[in-house]
Amino acid sequence: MKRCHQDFLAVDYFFKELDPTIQEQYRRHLADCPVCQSHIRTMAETKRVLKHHRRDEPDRALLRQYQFALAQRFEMKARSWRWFDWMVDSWIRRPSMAVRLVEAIALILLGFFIGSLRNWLPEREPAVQVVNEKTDLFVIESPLLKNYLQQTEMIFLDVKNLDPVEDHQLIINLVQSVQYRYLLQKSLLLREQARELNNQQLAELLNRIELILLELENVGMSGDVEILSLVQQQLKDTRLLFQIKAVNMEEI
Amino acid sequence: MIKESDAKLVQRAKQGDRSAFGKLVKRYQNKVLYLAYDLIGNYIDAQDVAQNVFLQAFQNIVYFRDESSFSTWIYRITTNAAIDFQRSRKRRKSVFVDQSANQEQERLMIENIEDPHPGLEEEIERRDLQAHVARLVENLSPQQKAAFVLKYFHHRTTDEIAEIIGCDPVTVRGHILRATLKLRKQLKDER
Repeated sequence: MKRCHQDFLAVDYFFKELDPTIQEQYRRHLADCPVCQSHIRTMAETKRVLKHHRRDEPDRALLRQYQFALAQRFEMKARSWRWFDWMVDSWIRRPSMAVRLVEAIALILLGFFIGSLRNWLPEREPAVQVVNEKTDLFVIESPLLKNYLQQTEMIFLDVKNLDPVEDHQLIINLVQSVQYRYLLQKSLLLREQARELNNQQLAELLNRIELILLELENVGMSGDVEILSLVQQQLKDTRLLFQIKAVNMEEI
Repeated sequence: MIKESDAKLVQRAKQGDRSAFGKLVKRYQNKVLYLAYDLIGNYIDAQDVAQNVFLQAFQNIVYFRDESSFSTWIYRITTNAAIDFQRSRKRRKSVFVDQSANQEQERLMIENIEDPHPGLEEEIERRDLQAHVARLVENLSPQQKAAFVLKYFHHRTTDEIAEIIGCDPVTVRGHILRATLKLRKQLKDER
């Protein structure tokens, strides 16, 4: 076969890698050159044959083994984890003397810092007495008392309205509510506070509430319907519920 | 998540970041394995060569200059390693590797025959063509084979191939053309 001095361009022309200007020149050359035409034909045929050629896939086990070996050798794990490991190692597992010293100083400083936090905490507001206009009762203005009176009012209202024979489940729920909300303990605490402030009237009110709460607990333990009827009668006869309500209304 | 570029990973790997190199390995492990296989002809040796390629790359990453891309560089190491491996294999005049490759091929063929499925004929035809092409490519000179494989199987440009096999682009065009003509002639002769 004849030779062509431009046949080396056939490869780039066929794979479309030629500069546009040279490509145009070569295209003109190609039209008259049987050697280059033959090369292009051969490459097209080879490409066509190789189009159907697919390489064998590697055996899965072999591929896994290969990838595992590479992963092990080049530690393909995230950098952050390695950093974390290093931190744990040098600060916790095997700290040097210098690191231990730094840790001790840091702990002391942390202690001082937490201690100084106490100075920044807002001081508890002292309990203040105000006069409730409706009841003429000196009431301690405190969130605990407010909350306590609201809860007892709700419970006493339910007690007053329930049927001692039929509403057995409701009685159990009310007794549980008294226990769950620590109303007896709160009564003691608030009564002490009232005595400290020399507020006898409020102390007396809290005392009466406490007695009824105790009766309610007895009902819960014994299930005695008669005691419950007595409690209901007490609530009706006394102005206890009215007093609690009045204090609550004033607060709201 | 945005994929980190090769250049950035190389930069980090140069500074001693092993995980950055790990990411590059993960990105190129299959490409390198397939190129090694295309040049050597069996996966058992190809995976050994591929592992050595990454080891070599890791040891020499500090000398890598940004004049070429990382992919070209790793292809270059792979091509050289595969050519060296073939030369040493020829020197040893050992055939066990080919035997193991043939045994593997035979095993797959037997499996296919024992458990026939639709398209078996096409599969056998495909395997025939593969074996045929592999045999023809095996007869090319190492440089011609590398140029041919990189062009037809890995779709690299002539300039990239020139960088990979370390010669002039004109020489690469010559290699590809001669290899193609040689294959064509062999195919014609066999027919």
